[in-house]
Formats: sequence, structure tokens, C-alpha cells
Amino acid sequence: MTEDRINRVIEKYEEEINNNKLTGVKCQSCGHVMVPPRPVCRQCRSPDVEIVPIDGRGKLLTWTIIHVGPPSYENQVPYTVGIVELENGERLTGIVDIPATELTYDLPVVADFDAEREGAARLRWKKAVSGQ
Amino acid sequence: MRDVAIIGTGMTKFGSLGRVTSRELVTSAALEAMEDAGVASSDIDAVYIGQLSGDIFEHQMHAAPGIPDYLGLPNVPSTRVEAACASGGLSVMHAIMAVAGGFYDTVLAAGAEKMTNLPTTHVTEALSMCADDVFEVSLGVTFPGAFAMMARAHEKEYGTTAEMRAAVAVKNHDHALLNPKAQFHKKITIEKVVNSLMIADPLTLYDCSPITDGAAAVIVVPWEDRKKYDGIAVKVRSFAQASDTMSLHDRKDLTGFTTTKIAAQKAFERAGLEPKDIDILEVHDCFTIAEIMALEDMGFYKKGEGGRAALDGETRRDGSLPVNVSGGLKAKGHPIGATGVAQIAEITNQLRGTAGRRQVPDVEIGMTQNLGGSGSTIVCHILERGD
Repeated sequence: MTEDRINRVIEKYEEEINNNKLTGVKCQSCGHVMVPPRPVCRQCRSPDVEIVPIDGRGKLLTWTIIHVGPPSYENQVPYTVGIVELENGERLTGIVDIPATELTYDLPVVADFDAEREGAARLRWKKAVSGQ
Repeated sequence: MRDVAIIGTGMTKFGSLGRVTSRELVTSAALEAMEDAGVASSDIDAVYIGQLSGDIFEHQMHAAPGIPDYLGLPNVPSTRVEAACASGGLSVMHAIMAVAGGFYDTVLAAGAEKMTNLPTTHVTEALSMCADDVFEVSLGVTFPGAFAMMARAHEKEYGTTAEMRAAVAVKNHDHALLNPKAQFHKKITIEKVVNSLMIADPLTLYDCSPITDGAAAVIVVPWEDRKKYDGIAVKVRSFAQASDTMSLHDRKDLTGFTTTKIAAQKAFERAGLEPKDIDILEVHDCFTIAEIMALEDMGFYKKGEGGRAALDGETRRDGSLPVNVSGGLKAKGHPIGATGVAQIAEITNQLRGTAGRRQVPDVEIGMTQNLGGSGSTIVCHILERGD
């Protein structure tokens, strides 16, 4: 925890993702790992959590191809957004860089990072190749 | 705690209403509700107003005092309630709690939104602010997108098809034909829904509720005082609210809402009732899949049966369980803050026998389900015909 006693988990997550690293938090009380990070453990309610690196491999649970987007994504339509379950069971949303014809349930994916964006908006998912 | 009655309802026309402010819209709905209740404006001792975003849509925050101001009651306490698309349902819930607790005796609970001032992409952006800004919206998630991901998960788990979802839209458009205040009076077909413009695959334009201006209002009084007024009373049997994570991905079940399950179950428990006791429902069909999931999560159908029920016509006005006889959000329209209030107004009118051409015969107990965000807020109410 920082000296001002504000638990800035989102700032830490964004600092790391700006360096192309996916992180979560680990509860120092019960060991539960959470992605995205949150300031209080969902399992034991302890506020004693620390940022830890997270393996970016997972599988695609569900997705949508968005044809009408908000102004910040208007020039990118259609684009695909999906929810991915990581190997530790935690889940994240992100842009999916996989052609629509190849999208299937439980498709193995791996985290990727958009160099054009800052912070949490950098997260993308690409198809995992074997060995990755 | 006191039992509570609803004795008056009012609603503006829903649709694209041109150059008008939401406080003017609430004023119209409120005057109609007060006349229906037989309540003088001088009787009103508190106001609750459900509104998502006067700031973005109208460049007007602090909506609450504007309502008593325009009603000529500038010193009556007024509170804005914001809970995304559940703002209206929570506005009524807070009015009920204030009357039940004995703090106020005659309360105006209203809701309004003036959405058509902005182009569609900007409305989409404003609504998306009800999702998690850091972990969803910054990644391009829209509300049609969030419900589309649930529709796909529901399709995978239970085989719910595009035709089943479309049947919800067709039904609610049929229902709206009998509601003069509905935004749409247009019959549609399953083929039209399935083949319309794709918004967020697999949801098409006709799977989505529209952008709407409008207001609704109800008058809430103690049950023991109901005979003091000319309005026909319905009794509030129960209400219940639940919250869940801001982000959809933080929930294990992507085929429904735990919040709906909890709020419905608590509302049933508090009323001493079960799903089989409910004669008529207004549920939050912001998207067709949302109505299917609501009926399943509330316990009216087993998971995976909601789509079939729509396709088989069970939830039509003349079916075994009439759902969204008003036309629902889908065809009556969805002026965000007004929606939950309009649901309660519709059930009130149906139970009192004052629903006009769309009156469903012999309904005694009705229920509403109002949803905010991707189900992060749910509020349910159960109402019963009065004496």
C-alpha cells in the first residue's frame, strides 16, 4: 500500500500493461489470485493484496462482433470483443484479433498488447500457437 | 413499518419528442399521475426522480429540484436516483421505503430521460459508461456487445436460437400496437428481426430497444390512507434489490443474472409468494435475450426454456404468462430513467383494470424486474390488486 493509504491497483496494472506485462493481485492473507486486480480479496475480504505477474494464456469463452461502436472505436468497426478465461480461472475482456471464421468456443488465445493505446485499453487477444 | 399503496400513474408519450426538457416531461407525467390519484400538488411532500444522465443528454445536472420547481412546489424535498437503466425502479423503491418508514405520506416517484438530442454513437457511448470504464469500455465494449456475448453463451449452453430471441421482439411489437403511448406501432416478423442490421453479432437492430424520450410517474401513499383519495389503489406486496460486479467477465455465469435470481427470490419471500402466484409481468427487455434470461432467472421457466416459451407464444398477452403487455422496452420505448417507473405504472393499471385496450382480464398479482448495467443492479417489485 502506498503511503497515502490509497490502494492504487488499477494504476499498477496500467503501469505494467504499458510494458506489455499482464498482472493481477494475489491476496497476502489467503493466496487467492485476481485478474483484473481489485483492492479487496473477493474470497476472504482482506485488503492486503500485492501485484503479481499473470500468465496470458487462456481460452475464448464468448465473443461478439461489434458493428455499432462508440466514437472512440467508430473507425474500427466491425471489431471483435471477447471474454477470455485464463488458466487460473480468472477472466478478462479484450479485443480479439482473430478472423470471424476462426472463432470457436474454448479457442486457445494469448494476451497481446496494442502499442497504439495506453493503459487497460492495450489488452488484446490473439490465437495461441502451440508452444506459446 | 407501514404497508404502502400506489394510487396514481402517469406517462408521457414515448418516442422522439423534439425540443423539450426532461423536467417538462416529468411535469406532464406527474400532473397526470396526481389527477389519476386524486391528489392535489399541495399534498406532495417528497419527490424522487430516476434519471441516468441529464448531464450528457441535456447539459443539465441536479435534475431533482427542477421537478418540484416546475410543479409549483419549490421547497418540497426532491432526490435524484441514478442506477443506470434501473434508475426508475429504484426511484419508486426509495419512495416506497420513505412512505413505509413513516417519513413522508404522499410521494411522487418519477423517472425521465431525454435521449434523442444526441446522435446514436454518442448515446451508445453515454450508455456504455454504465459498464466498467477501465476493464470493459476502454476495450470497446458496448451494451449491445455485452448482451450479445451473453446471447452467444446462452446459445451455446441451451441452444437458444436467433428465432427464439426474435419471437420476443415480435411479441412486444404486437403488444405495443394496443398502447397509444408506445414509441412503435409497427408489426414485425421473425424474418425481419433476424435479417435486420447487425448491431453486435448475434444481436440485430430489432433485438435492441430503441433510443427514446419520455417520462413516467406514480403516486405512493400509506395503504391506510388510500381511501382518502379518489385514485384506485394497488398494494405493494414487496420489493427487493441486488448488486453484482460492474464487469460481466467477473461473473461465473454468463447465461443469466445472479442479481435477478437474488432480487426475485427475496421479493417472493417477503411477499410470501411463488412464481406460480404471478399473473402478469413487466421485465427489462433492453435486448430480446434479456427478457428470456429474466424469466428464467426469476423462476418462471427453467434455464433454457425461456426462448422456447417465447416462440410458443406462452408469454403473449393471451398466453399462459403475459409478459410486457405494454410493449416492453423493445417497442414501448426505453427512456432510461422512466423505464422502471413505467413498468410499475403498467402493472398498477393492469391490476386496477385501467389498462384500456390492452387490459388482461382477471389479473390480481403482478411483478416487475428492472435492470441496470449488464445486470449489475436489479430491482423487483410485486404488486397486488387493492380492495
